[in-house]
Amino acid sequence: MNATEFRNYFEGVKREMSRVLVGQEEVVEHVLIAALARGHVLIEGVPGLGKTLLVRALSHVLGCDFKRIQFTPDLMPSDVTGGNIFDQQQNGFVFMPGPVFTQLLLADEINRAPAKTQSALLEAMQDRSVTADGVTRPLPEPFAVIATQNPVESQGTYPLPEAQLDRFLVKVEVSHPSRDAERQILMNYLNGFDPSALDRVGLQQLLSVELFLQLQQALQSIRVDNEIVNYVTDIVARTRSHRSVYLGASPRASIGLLHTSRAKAATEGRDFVVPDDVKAFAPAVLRHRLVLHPDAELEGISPDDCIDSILREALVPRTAA
Amino acid sequence: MTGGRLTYCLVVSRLLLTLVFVLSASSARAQNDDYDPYAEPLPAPKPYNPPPSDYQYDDDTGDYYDTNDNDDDYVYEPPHYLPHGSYAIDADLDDEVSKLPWCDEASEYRIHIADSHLCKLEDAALDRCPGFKAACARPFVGRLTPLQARGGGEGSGEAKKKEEREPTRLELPKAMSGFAQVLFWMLVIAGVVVLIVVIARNLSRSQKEKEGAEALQLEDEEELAAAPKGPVETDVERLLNRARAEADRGEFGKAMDDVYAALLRHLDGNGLIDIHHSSTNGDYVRSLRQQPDLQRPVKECARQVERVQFGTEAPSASGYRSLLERVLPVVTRGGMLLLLVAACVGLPLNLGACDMQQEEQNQYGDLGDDSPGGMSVFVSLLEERGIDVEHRKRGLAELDETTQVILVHGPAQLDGESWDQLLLWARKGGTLIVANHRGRPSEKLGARRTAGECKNLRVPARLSAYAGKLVVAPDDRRMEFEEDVEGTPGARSLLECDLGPYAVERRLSSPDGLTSGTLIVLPDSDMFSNASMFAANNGEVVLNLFIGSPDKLEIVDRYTVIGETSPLAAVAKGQLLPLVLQLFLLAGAFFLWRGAHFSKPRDPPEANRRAFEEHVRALGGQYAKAHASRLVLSNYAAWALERLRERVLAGRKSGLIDLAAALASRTGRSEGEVMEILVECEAARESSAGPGDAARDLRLMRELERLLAETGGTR
Repeated sequence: MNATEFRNYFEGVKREMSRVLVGQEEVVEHVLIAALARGHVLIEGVPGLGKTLLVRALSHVLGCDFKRIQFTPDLMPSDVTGGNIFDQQQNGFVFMPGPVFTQLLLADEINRAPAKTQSALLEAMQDRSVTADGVTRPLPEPFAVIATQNPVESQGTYPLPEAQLDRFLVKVEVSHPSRDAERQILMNYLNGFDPSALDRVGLQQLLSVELFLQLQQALQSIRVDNEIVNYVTDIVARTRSHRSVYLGASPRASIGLLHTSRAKAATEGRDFVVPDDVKAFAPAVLRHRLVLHPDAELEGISPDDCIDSILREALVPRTAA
Repeated sequence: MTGGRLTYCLVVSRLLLTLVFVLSASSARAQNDDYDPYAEPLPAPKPYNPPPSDYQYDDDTGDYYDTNDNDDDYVYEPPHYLPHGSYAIDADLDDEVSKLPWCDEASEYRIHIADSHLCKLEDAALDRCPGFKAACARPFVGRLTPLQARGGGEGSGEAKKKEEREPTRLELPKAMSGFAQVLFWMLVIAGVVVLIVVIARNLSRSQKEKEGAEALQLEDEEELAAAPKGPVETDVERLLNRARAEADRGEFGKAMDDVYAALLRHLDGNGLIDIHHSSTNGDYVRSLRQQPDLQRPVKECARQVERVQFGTEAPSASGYRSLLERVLPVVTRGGMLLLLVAACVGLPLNLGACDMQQEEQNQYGDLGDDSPGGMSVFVSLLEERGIDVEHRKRGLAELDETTQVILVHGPAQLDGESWDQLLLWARKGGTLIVANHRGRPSEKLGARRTAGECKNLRVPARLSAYAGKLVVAPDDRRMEFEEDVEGTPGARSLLECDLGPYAVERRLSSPDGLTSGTLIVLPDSDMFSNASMFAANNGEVVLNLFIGSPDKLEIVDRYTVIGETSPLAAVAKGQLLPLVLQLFLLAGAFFLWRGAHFSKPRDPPEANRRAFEEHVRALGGQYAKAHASRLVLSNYAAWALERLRERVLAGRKSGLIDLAAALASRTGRSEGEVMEILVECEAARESSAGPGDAARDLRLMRELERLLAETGGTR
C-alpha cells in the first residue's frame, strides 16, 4: 500500500466519522492516528462531549469489535481481564474472557477505579496479552484502549499512576464544540439522529480488520531521516532538563513520537516524515508524561506550556533560520 | 558580526552609494543644464523708430504737454508723484555701503555666479562701491543657473570660464541653522566612518575566513557536519545568486535549499512569516492562511524541497529548475521595483529642482538679501524715505487701496487672473511697475522684452529734471512697444537705449474713465539690484522717476499668492505639487511592496510575573485538590477565634460561652446560633488532620468571616 492509498483511506474514515461527530475533527484525527500507530489513547474531557460515541462510531467504521467498561470504585481486575470460573458441566475451571478481549476497548472514566483495577490493564496495553492463573492469553489484533477521564471532578477518583499514563500513546484533550458545530449537532438530532443506532444514520463500514492491519503495517515503510530522529531525541531530551519539569518523558515517549510522526506523514500522503509531523504530535504524546515541579504547578504552568517552550527552543532540522 | 547585521550594513552602504550616485548625477545635470523652462523666448528686435511726439514738462503749470500733439482732446496726465525733483541719495548710499561686504576692498567676498552679469556695472559703481570691482575679479561661487545663462554677454562668458577654474563646492541651504549644519556634517562624517569600518571589517573577515578554510581542511563528512555553522545568508538576491552558482557546480541539493531559503526570506522581509529556528515549513505555510494565493505556491515549494531533504527523491537539475520557476514569481516584484526606483530617482531630481529655485530665491526673493543681486539697498532707501515697504505673500484678489505702488519683481510668475487683478488695480489709480522676467502678458502690458545691447541709457528729453543723469543698464535687454494694443494711448519711454526704449510707461484708465493709473515696464529687475543702486545715477533715477514718494509700496515676487487658504492650493502655488506627489507615490509603492505592517509583527511580550491573587487561587486549588478543606478551616478558625477574643473580650482568656455571649450582644444575633458556629470551629481546630466536608468547611469559614466583619473587619 502506498502513501496515497493510505491517505485516501484515512480521509474516507475521517469523512465518515464527521457525519456523526461534529466539531471534533482534531480529536478524531488524533485517535485515528494513535490507533494506526498501534497505540492507546487517553481522552480527557468533561462529560457529554461524545467520547463514547466517538469510539463506537470508530469501531463501526473500522469494522472492529468494541466493548465498554464503566470504571467504578468497586470494579475488580477480573471484571476487566476475565477469570477462571467453575463449569459444572465440564466439572472444571474454564476461562471466561473479560471485556478486554476485544479490538477497541472503551475504558470510561478510568480514574474512578482504584490503582489495583487500573493496573489490570497494564499487561494488556503493553504486551497485548492477559495472564490469569499463570496462563497468558493474547488479545485480538488490532487492540487499542481508548480511556476517558474527567478533568474537573477529583473527589472519589484515583489519579492514574505514571506507569499507566506512560502506556497511553497520546492524551487528547476534548473541548466544547464551537457554536456552529453545536448548532449542527442539534440540527442532526432534529433530523432524527440516534447515537444508539448508528446503522440507521447510514454510517458505513469503510475498513475491515484485515485492511486496518495492512494500514498499520504500511507505516513501517515510512522513511525517517536521521535528522528527524535527532529532532525527536532532542525534543524528548529537553523535557528532562526543563526547569519546570520534575520528571521528563521516557524513551517510550520517543518511540511513540516517532510512530505517531510516521502515521501523520502517511495520512498526508507522504512516504517520509518531516519535522512538522513531529511537532504536530509532540504535545499529545508528551503532555501526560511530564511531572511538573510543585512550584511550577503553583505558578499555574501546565505541561502544555512546557512542551510549547521546548518546541520553541528545539532546532528544526534543515531550517532556513 | 551576525549575518543579519552584515546584510543590514551592506544594504545601508549600497543605499548610501546609490544615493550619492543619484545626487551626483542630479548635481551634474543641474550644472550642465542651460535650459530654463520658464525663460521667455526673446523675439528679434525691430528697428527702433523714436516716437514722433514727446512730452515736455511745463514748470509753470506742473503738467506735461505733447509738443507734437495737435489733438487737444487728449491730455496726458502724468503720475501723481512725478516729478519729485532730484532727491539726493548719496548720503543714504554711503550708509548702505558700510553694510555690504562686497563693497569693502579689504574683504575677500566672492560673488555668486548668478550675480556675475552685474559685474558689468563695476566701473560705474567704482566710486561708491570700490570693493565691487575687486570682488568681480575673484572667482565666482555657486553653480550656473538658467538665470545666469540668460544674462548672456561678456559677463556670462567670463563667469563660465571662472567657474571652470573654480571647482564646485558643496553648499548647504542657507535656511539651515548653525546647529543644523554642524549636525549635518557630523552625520555625514559618521556615515562615512561607519561605511569605512564596515567595509574594512568585511574585508578582514573574508580574509580570515579564507585563511581559516585553507587551514581547516576537513577530511570526512562527520567533521564537516560538526563544523561550526557560518553566518546565515538573509539577502534574497544573494541567496538566489548562490543557488545559481551551486546549480552550475552540480550541487542541486544545496541550490534547492538556497532557493527555498530565498523564498522564506522574502516572505519574512514582507512581514508575512517570522523565520525562527523552531518553525517548520508547515508553520510557515499556516502563517499564510490569510493569503491563499500565496499559500498554495509556498506549500508546493515546501513539499518539493521536503521530498529532497527528508524523502527519497534525489536532487536534480529538473527539480531545481521547477523550484526556481515557482519561487521567482513570488520573490520578484519587477513592476513594483521599477516604481520604487523611479520614485527614488525622481525624488532627488525634484529636490534638485528645489535647489535651483533656491538659487533664484537668493537673487530675487529675499528683501534683506545684501548680495550684488539682492535688493536690500533699494528697500533701505525706500524706508529711509518713509515709504512703507511690504512683501506681499497673500493673493492679489484683495489689493490694499492704501498701496500706491506695486513692484512685480524677480522671477514672479503670475497667472492671467493675477495680471488682470493687478492691471485693474492700476486702472483705479495705482502705479504698477513690472520688472519680473517670467510669464508676462505682453499684449496686456503693451510692451515686450527684446534682446539687444543697451549700454548707455538716457532719460528722454521731456523729463528735463533728469536730463544729463548717467544711467547704466545692468543687462543687455530692452523693451519694444507692442503694436496694435487696444487702449494704449500715451505709451512712452522713461529710459531709452540707442536702439530702443529700456523702460516704458503707459497710462491705464478705468473703463468708466473716472480713474487712471500708471504702468511702468522694465526688461527685468536688475535695475533694482544692490549693484545697480550704486552705479552712476541709477539709484536716484529709479527712486525718483519710477517710485517717487508713495506712502506704501508692495513687492510682488515668486512668494506672492503662496499664502492660500487651502493647504492643497498653497502646495500647488508653491510648486511643491510634484514633490508631494512623488512622496505619496513613494509611500504608496512602499506600502504595496512591504504590506500593511510598518515593522515585523510580533506577539506582545508575555507577562512573566503573576498577580498575588493568582498565587492565592493556585494555592487554594492545590488545597482543594488535596481535599484539605478541614486543615484550612482549622487554621482560619484558630486565627479568627483569637481575633474575636481580642475584639469582644479584650484578650481575656475565657471559654466559648463567654465569647458567644459577647459576640451575640455585639452583633445582635442569638447566642445559640453564635455558639453553634464557635463550637464547630473549635472542633475543626482540634481535628485538623481528619477528613472534612468541603462544603461544610467553607460554610463555617464564611460564618466566621461574617462575625469578624460585624465586629470590626475581616482582617
